Order: sequence, then structure tokens, then C-alpha cells
Amino acid sequence: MSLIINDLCFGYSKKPPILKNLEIVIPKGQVTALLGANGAGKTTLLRLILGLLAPRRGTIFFNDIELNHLTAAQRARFMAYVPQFSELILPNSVAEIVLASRFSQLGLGRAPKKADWAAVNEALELTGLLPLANRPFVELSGGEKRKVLIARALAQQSELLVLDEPAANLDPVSRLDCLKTIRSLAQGSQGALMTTHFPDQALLVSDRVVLIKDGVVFAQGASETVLTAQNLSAIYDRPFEVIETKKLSDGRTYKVCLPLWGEK
Amino acid sequence: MLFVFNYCPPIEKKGSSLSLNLINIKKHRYFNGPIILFITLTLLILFSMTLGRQEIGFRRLGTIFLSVLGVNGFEPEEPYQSIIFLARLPRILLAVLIGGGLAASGAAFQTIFRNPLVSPDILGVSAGAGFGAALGLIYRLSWWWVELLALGFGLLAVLLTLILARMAARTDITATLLSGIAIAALFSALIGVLKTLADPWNVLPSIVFWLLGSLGRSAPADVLTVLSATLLGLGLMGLYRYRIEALSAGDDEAKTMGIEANKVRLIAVGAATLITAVGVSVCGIVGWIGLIAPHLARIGGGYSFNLLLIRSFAIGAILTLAADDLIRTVEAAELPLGVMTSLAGAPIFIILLPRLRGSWR
Repeated sequence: MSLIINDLCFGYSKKPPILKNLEIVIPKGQVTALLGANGAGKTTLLRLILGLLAPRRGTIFFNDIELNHLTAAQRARFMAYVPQFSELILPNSVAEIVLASRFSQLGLGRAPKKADWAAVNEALELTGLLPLANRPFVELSGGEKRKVLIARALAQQSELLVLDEPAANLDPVSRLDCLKTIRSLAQGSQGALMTTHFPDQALLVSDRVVLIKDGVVFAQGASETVLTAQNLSAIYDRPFEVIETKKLSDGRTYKVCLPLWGEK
Repeated sequence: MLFVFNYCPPIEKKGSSLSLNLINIKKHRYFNGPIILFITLTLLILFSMTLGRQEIGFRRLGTIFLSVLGVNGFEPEEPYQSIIFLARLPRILLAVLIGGGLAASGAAFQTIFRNPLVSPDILGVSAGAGFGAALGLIYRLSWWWVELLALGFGLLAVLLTLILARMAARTDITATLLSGIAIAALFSALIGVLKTLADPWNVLPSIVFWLLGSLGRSAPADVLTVLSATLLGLGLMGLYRYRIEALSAGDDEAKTMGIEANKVRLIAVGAATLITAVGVSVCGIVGWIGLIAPHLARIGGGYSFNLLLIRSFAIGAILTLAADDLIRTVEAAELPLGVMTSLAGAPIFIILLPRLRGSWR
């Protein structure tokens, strides 16, 4: 039971393909990180998985069901999306925004029920946002906004969270909080697929890693085995070194991945 | 003051026997709560029935209604009963339905196009209807034909806009709005051509007055047409109200939340266009209401489309009815409705402008 991508190809009309013959497996209940240089095709792959783009060739299966055959509402039960930024323009409250993820499951003309509010409540509690439930979304800080978008995806109660650079543009502590939230969620029944530009973050929270280079899968597998200096140097075209720290005061060791300044 | 609030049932925490109301949705404490608005609207309707050349007080109004309801001891009084039911009430109902319908359509358009500057005629419906009516007037067709041509060309203009937008960039909002502006400009130019060709003594004034909007020429039968179109349009918007609200997050987010964004937008456009086209074909072009009523409805919070739709309808109905009452009161000259809604609406909007801060990012 997982997300299986078979021979996926994509390109905008009359242009050379962006993604070529992708074969990817994303197991359930795990965190998978998607890494690649800018323009490697990460976001395009996310949009294909989310059904926002149609593939040129190939199939995507979720729990042995082909995603192409599903309606938007059915697809939303399988996966929820956490964008980097929301395009929201009205100052709706946090609770109203999180509730919106339940709208597609409502019967036509029906108002949200107790179960919907309960899902909102649970999502806000898991992300620590209950005190902010009535605040207008637009007044929140960047880190809080990101959490609201995660809470909205959680309230959708789907099986896989798809996150587009969940830790980008956050201060170091908000970033860590955000990653910890994702990690703790994936220990339950939900899995997560996230793109990131930081191999260190992938080593910190993800079970698996998929490396993409120029539209093809360069490597995939357990984070520890795939995120090596050699692989990183290859996908970013720049020498990389992976440094492991000593045990820090929290009793953990951390791995830091650094691109090198230059040859001299 | 009455407090009107968003409904939030108490939430039971999973695995606990305690009933905890964890999310206390903030109560709405402004003038534009639905209950206050609908009480105001009802009072205004009653007051409007007493306005007119023939003096009919509230006492007589009460007698007329009791006699219609068949209460013993109250006999129908002519000509007052006919004045109320054949002259005043149809005009009042038209003002309520058209004003409310335009405002609800404006609220839907602003939500689905994610743009506070949008009014219901952005896709060309008013310009198209104006052209159709001018065509009918120039050929001196019967009133019924003028209305039908206005309706037909109003719908045609929106259809052309949608086709044009689809050819340009399938679902892009900006492409849709730009196509609408282009089609509206085209029909406005055609109206200009018809005005130039029209007989300046007999036909031109009627075109000019049609374009400025009026409820004075409406027939009681129009009420039924407008009522059915408005109910159908509002019904559709009501059924899809939560899905329409989800569109305000943008297409990509709405789609991943399970909303068929294109389908829902098309339904909302269809519903709003039906309401607007029928309204415009009956009473001409009434500006402003569709733009300002949703903004007034947003003052003080409560941005869910659900509430916005109800509040916008009530505010649009109140503003339009009040404007038409003013027109009926000024005996010297019957000002066009479109002129009066702008004349009265613009100052109200300007006064409330500072309170709109924060309604849009």
C-alpha cells in the first residue's frame, strides 16, 4: 500500500520533456524527501502527483488505484497538499481556513457537521494552533501561516501529505518546529512527501529520499544510504561534504551537508 | 443590539467524555448581521408601501393585509388595495429582487475571481443587454421584445467572453476578466453606433433612459420572471456556497482540497449571469450595487461566503429599495435608478471606506 509511479513522462506541449521515465515508490506511513537542484523537476513532479498536471505518459497508483481515474474529491481523500504560500486574499480566520479542507466532502447544500468541526479541532490541536483559531490568517507570522496550511491538510484526513518546501523561509526554530510536526504526523497512519533544498533536513526527518537530476531519478532509498557526499556532488554539480557532529547536548548526533566554496 | 454569530456546535474531544467547546468562533457584533439586515429590509418594505401620491398610512395598510388574509370584519378597500398590489408592491419586489440579486452576484464574482474590484457586469452582461435593448428600441419593437433582446444579448455577451477566455488560456482568471472587458467594450461601442443612428427626437431619449435604469416602466408580470430567475440563481449559489468559498484560496489549492474548480466556477458564473441578465433586461443598467454591497457585507468580519451571500443580498435589496423610494418621493422628475444608486451609493461607500481596511490583503 503506497504511492507507485510508473514510467512517468511529462513536458509542456511542443517543448522537450521535463520529467523522463520516472519510477518511484513512496511507502505509506513514512516521510519521503524529494531533492534536486532548482529546475530539476521537483515541483512539476508534485503537481503531477496532485493531479494539477496531466502526464504525457505513465501512471500513478495510490493503493492500487490509478489516480487519473479519480475525481478531485476522491483524490483529496488520498492526499492533501501543503503549498509554500497560500493565495488566500480574504482575512478569514484560521478556523475558517482549516475548515475549507472539509468542503469537498460535504453534500451539496449541506453545512459542515460536528465531525467536520471535530477534524478542524484535532488538526489545530496537533499543530498547536488552538489559541489562534479566531485570528485572521493574513495577520499571522510566516511560521504560523505554514502551520495553518499544515493543519488544513491534516483536517482533510487523507493518507498522504504532500508538502512543497515546508521549511523554506522560516527562522531556524520555526523550521525545526515545522519539521518535527511533519515527523510526528508520519509516525501515525499518515505519510508525507516533501520537497526540500536542504539535505540536512532530509537526514533529520525523512525515512526515504528520492534524488532527481535533469528530470530523471538519480537515486532513491533510505536517507542514510542515499544522501552521501558523492550523490549530492553529482546532483548539484558541485563538491559536497557530509559532516557528522559529536553527540550534542540533546544526546543526538546531527549530519551537516555542505557544498564547498571552491577548489582553492 | 442583536448579536448574530457563526454557528459552531460544541466539540467533543476524542476519547473523552467531556464535551469541550475548544474553538469558540468569534461572535459577530456589527450592523450587518443577517437578522438585523432582514428586519431592516422588512420595515423598509412596509414603509415603501406607504410612499406615493395616494396617501396610504400604516393603519390602512394593516386593514388591507388583514382583509386579504380573510380576517373577519376587514373588508377590501378600493382603490387602495389595487394601488398596493398592482402598483406599489410589484415595484418594491422588483427593487428587492434586482438589488439583492445583483449584490449576491457581485459577492459570488468577487469570490470566484478573487478580486475586490469585480462587479456582476464584468463579463459583459450589462453592455450586451444594453445593446439588445437599444436594438429593440430602434426598431420600435414591443416592450416584451426589448426585454427579450436585452436578455438574449446579455447572455450572448457572457458566452462570448467565456469562449474567448477559453481560446486564450483555458481557465486563467485574468484571461477571463480581460475577455469580459474586451467584450463589454465591443458592445458599448455598438451601443454608441446605435445611438448615433437613432432618431434623436423619439428613439434616442428612450435608449438613454433605458441604459440609466428604471423600475418605473416595469409590469407586474416582470416580477414573476425576475423572481424565478433570482430564486434559481440564488438556489444554485446556495447549493454550491461552500465550494464557491473554497475557490477563494485559488484554483490549485481548491483542486487539491477536492473541489472541481472549473466546474464550480462555471456554475457560479452561470447563476450570477442569469440573475444579472434578467434583472438588467427588466430594469436597465443599475450600477454600483453589485460592487459595493458585498464590501459593506464584509465589514466587521465573517468572511465565509455562506454569510456573505445572505448579507450581500439584504444590503443590495435595502440600498436599491431606498434609492427607488427616493426617486418616487422626488415628484418633480423621476431620476433614473442607475443614477440614484450611484448618487446615494457612492457617498455611503466613501463614508464606510475606512472601515473596509483589512477586508482584502
